[in-house]
Amino acid sequence: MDLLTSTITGLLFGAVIIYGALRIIAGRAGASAATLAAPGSGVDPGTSDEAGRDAARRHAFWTTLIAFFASGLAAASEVGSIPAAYYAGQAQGPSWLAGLLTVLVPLVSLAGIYIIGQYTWPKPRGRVRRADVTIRRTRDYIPSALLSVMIAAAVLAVTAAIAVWELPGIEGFSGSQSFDGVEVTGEHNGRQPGSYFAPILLIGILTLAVGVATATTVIVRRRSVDSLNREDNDILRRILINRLFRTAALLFASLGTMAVSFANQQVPAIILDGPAPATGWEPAQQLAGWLAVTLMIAMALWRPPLLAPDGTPGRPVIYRGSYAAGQEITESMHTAAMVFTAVALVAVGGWASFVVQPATVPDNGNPVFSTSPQLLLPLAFAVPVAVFLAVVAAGEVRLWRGHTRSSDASGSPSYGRPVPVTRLIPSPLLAAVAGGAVLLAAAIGFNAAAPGRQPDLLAAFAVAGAALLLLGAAAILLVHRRPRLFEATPEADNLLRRVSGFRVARMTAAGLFALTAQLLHAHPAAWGWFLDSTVSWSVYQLSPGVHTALRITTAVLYLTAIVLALLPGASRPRRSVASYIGHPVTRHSDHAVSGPPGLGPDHDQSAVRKDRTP
Amino acid sequence: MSTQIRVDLAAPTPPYEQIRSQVASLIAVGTLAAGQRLPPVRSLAADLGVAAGTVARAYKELEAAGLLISRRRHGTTVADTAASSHKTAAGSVEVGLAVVHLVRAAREAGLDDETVLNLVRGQLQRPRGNAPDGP
Repeated sequence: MDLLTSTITGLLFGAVIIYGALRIIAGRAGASAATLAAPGSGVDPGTSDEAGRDAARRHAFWTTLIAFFASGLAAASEVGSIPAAYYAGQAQGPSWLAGLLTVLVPLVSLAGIYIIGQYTWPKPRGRVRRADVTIRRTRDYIPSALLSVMIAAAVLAVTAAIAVWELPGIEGFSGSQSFDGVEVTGEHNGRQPGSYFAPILLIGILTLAVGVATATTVIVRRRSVDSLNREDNDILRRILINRLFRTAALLFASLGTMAVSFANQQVPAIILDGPAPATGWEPAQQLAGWLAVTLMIAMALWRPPLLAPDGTPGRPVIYRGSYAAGQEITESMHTAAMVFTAVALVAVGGWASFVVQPATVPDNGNPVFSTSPQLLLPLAFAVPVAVFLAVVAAGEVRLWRGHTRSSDASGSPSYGRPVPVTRLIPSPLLAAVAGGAVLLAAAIGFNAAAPGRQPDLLAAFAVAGAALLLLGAAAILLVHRRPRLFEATPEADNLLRRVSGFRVARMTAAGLFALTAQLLHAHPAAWGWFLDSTVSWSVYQLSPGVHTALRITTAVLYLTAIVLALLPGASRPRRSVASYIGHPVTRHSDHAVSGPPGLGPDHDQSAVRKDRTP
Repeated sequence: MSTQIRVDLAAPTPPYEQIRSQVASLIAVGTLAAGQRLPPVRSLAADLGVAAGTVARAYKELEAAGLLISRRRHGTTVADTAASSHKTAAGSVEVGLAVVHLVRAAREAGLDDETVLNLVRGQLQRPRGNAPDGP
């Protein structure tokens, strides 16, 4: 089976699996609609029900998530490169078609999954069917600001692809190579000429643009979901288009960044006591990095509209010390924490990328790391994570000071019975924190034992890791020891603790994994010693981080950190949980007259009514 | 006013007729204006979960009645003549209010839509000179 056939077969096979999975999720919405529309159900089929919305949310979430991960361009980063093994005669030269397919498959997958998702909604099953007789125009559903951002990213990507068209190829080597009379043993990847690489990128950009346009049209034209009313159907379309555009904008940016990285590849040369020779593309590389990070943060924060329940009040009246008040505080502090973390990541991370000096190799062949600026490298991840933990902890302090019995002068202090930490945070997450700490310690230990180590830098990473662990532990202790909200039931109160504990633990674990990845990349002293002692040091310094094993390891660690940081946790109870703990999820104002639900046994209702959070 | 139509598959009236009569009503009251585009046959059929032929037949009959125009490039649109011929009735405040009162009274009395329509049809079928019957 040739490459093209096997790729198409693989795509079709994947499409069938994804169709089946999304069909199962969508089927629940259909079942809900059928129940609603059943004769004698007493429910107007023109309204949405919460189960139908839940199914629609789940369907949209999974469609987005699958498409996001299927559209990863990590494998495509090698396109345009000639592996060093090729020069050693151990591998075939890269084929243009293989490179093209490596770029196209993720891009086609993105559009394809969104399109497949639209065909997984079941046909209307109820006796009574409804439809709108006004035509749905695509332009009515497109967010113009987001479209502008996506088009800007696409234009920049096209510009970068055209700019690299004329670049010459680079000859790599494997084995011994002489540079100005100095014999060097090692390997260095080569590079195809720009006229080979740029068409692949341009075809990729065009494919993505066509795919996004097609998927958008299909989203707008797909049949209305029977369990949702017209407004909710419109919101669902807007949600999917928003997510499609956000992912596409990131992909356009990735394609542009690939072009700049391609151009910035260095020619192999021996460097004696000085910086690596400039390619002329360093400023573009830094600018692309900044733009990519900024775009990533902007896209992460560019939220779509919500499928909210009917009659959701604009500003619910909530009681001080109630579950709703606690939920509002923890949610608002979490949002603030995410924003501050993002800002810190851009500010500190961007600063770190500027101050890091390239490593040099003196004529004795040992690597020389630049000193003082690199000591601040761990701050790039440690500061944002610390900011996140501090803001979440501040939310707990707000709860403690303003919403617990210990803060109420009229009541006696009541700390309640704290839940064990092992019940507060899921065991796998605790294991992830421990695993991150062990990995970081091991990486520091191996590097400390390796020749060419830089003790100051290792100490900086050790301090950063320890600081994160301490901060995480302090925040969890705060969550654990906080007195119970005086109006909330123990179940409701513990739910809030679990949410905060989960967020603290996942971000601590993410920070530790990111630090480990950064350490391996910035201080690869142990790498050659640990992996292959025969490889010369000078080659690693000529092209730091090029080694495939190092690249894969750091990529896996960074990916783990990202997954951990974005790991979804229970942010609010579902209906069943809310019912169990005796609290409404919405419409808190409905209880303004009858008093808040979930009162503790020692509740003084008259005192509470006077004291409401505005 | 809502531009939604509703098809009851268990009703004695065939689905195409339900579509036809509701689209005609929306044109009559001015909710669908002259030149306004209607969804393609396949799209509306998919939304309603009925066969494309059902919607196509409804559109065809509306076209034959001069209420819709189907053009290859512009799709199906509301005819200018259809809107203008019904403008007088739609613009009549008195009739409009009477219809609102009728629907409200029918809802309060617990009458279903089909019964109300039958009552109206019955009145409309009476000779023009005769005064309408009391309730």
